[in-house]
This record gives sequence, C-alpha cells and structure tokens, in this order.
Amino acid sequence: MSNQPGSLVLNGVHHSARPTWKLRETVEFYRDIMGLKLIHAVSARGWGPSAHPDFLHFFFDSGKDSTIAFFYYLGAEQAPHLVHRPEYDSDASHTSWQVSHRDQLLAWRERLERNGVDIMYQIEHEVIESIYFRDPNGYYLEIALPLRGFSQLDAMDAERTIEAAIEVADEYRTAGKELDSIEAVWQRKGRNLMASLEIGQEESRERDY
Amino acid sequence: MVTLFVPDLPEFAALIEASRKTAGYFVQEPQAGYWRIEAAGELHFNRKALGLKPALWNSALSGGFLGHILEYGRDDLRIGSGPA
Repeated sequence: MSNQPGSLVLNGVHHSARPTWKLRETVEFYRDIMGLKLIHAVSARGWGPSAHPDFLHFFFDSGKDSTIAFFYYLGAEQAPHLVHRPEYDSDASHTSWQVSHRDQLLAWRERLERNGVDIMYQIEHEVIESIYFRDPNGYYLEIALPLRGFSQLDAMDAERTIEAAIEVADEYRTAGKELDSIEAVWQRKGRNLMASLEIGQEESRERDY
Repeated sequence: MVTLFVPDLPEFAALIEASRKTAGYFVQEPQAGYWRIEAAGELHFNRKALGLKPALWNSALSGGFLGHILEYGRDDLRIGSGPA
C-alpha cells in the first residue's frame, strides 16, 4: 500500500487527553465556565500495569465530534514533573480550538473574562488570530480564528522550510554544533530555492531551444 | 547583491509593496510562488512602516534569503549581501 499523503486519511480529532489533580476545578472550568458539555465519563478500577490506580476518564464536547478529555487518578500523587510549568516549552503542548467568525472569537474572550479567566494574549499570526488562556491545571489553551485557508503554496513552502531545517540541523549535529538561530535555515532555504529556480530556467531554456 | 524571497501569500504583501516604492530595490514577479526582492547593497525594512504586527515581523524572512542579517530588532531589519 502506498504511503503517499492522502492515501490513508484521519477524520479529525476524537480526543486529546491530559491528567488532572483538580477534579472539581477542571469540571467547573470546562463545563460551567466554557460551557462544553460533559458527554462521557469512564470510571474504572485500575487495570493493565499492576501499579495503575483506579481512575476517572471524562470527556467534554469541543465541536465537530471532537472532545477534550482528562484522567483523574484516585489516590495518585501528582509527580513533580507533571505539575505544569508555565513556560514556552511546556506550553508548546496545548489545545487550540477554532471558531468561524471574529465575533465568536471576541464573544469567547468576553465570556472568559466575565468569568474571571485571564486572557493572556490576543495575537494575529500568519494564518490565525488567537486568544490564549489557562485552565485550572495551568494548561495552555487557545481559541483561534482562521484568517484564511491553507493553500498549495503553504504546503510547498512548508516542505522547503522543513527540508532546509533538516539539512542544516543534520550538518550542525555532524559538526558537533548546536543549531541555535533560524538565520541559517533561512539562508539554506534561500540557497535551495535559488538553485531550483535556476534549474527551472535552464530546463525552460532547453525546452525553448 | 542581497536577495530575499517572499512567499506570494497575503500576509507578506507589505514587504512587496514597500520594496516597489524603494529606490534601488528590484522586485521580480513570483516564480514558483516566491517574489524576489534584490538590492546591490542592503535591504532595510521598518516594522511600523510595513504595518506588521510582531508575530509576522518575526517571520518576515521565512521565504529564505541570500545574504546575512545585519540587524533584526523590534522595528528595524537590515540584510547585507554575502555570507555572514
């Protein structure tokens, strides 16, 4: 079977899940403040690994058949490495929901603020405008308004960017150095792009000839 | 010569518009989806003049370039020719 993109597809997100040690606060935040319907809850004895505690696994509706889910482990202490550290690298693990219209984005901001949730940022990125906030666990959350759809050029540009980054990162690693600036990636991308354009012109000239 | 490639995407249009109005900058129509901005000496852009918010300002060179960054601050960006 082919492994080409599109030969086997996924049908959106069923759930993403994180652990919580704040049962009441988590339910009150997602169900009562955000207004996401609690649509499923598993309550079970610990099973599988012998040390596995009994647990609750509960799901909130986040639209288009997607859910955000939590595990609450009974009698299990929160390990220090699972206490969310509010820094960029930990916040990289986050959930970003989407809305369809700007008035919806602003309405979410208004609802959250009215309920005492701090909106940390509202940022216009390349293709989305987003608000950012935290849940009672400290987890980083985002609601995003797409400013435009993804185009074929976005996909081609992404391939060029990541190809250049892998090339440079591999070279640095081989040389025992750390790639610590995006400049080298942009330079490599530019070099690769120039080379491909020159090859294209050469092929075009040969065709014309 | 310094060369900056700019993806032909709406969020980067301000770079093209500003370059077209700048003496000494040569703007070439998109090839393979990329505008090409060239100058004999340096390319200089000002964030406020472009009207770019910080997120886009910080990815303004993401199309790739030939040259090296001389300055990339909060409001001013200068790219010089040749390797760093």
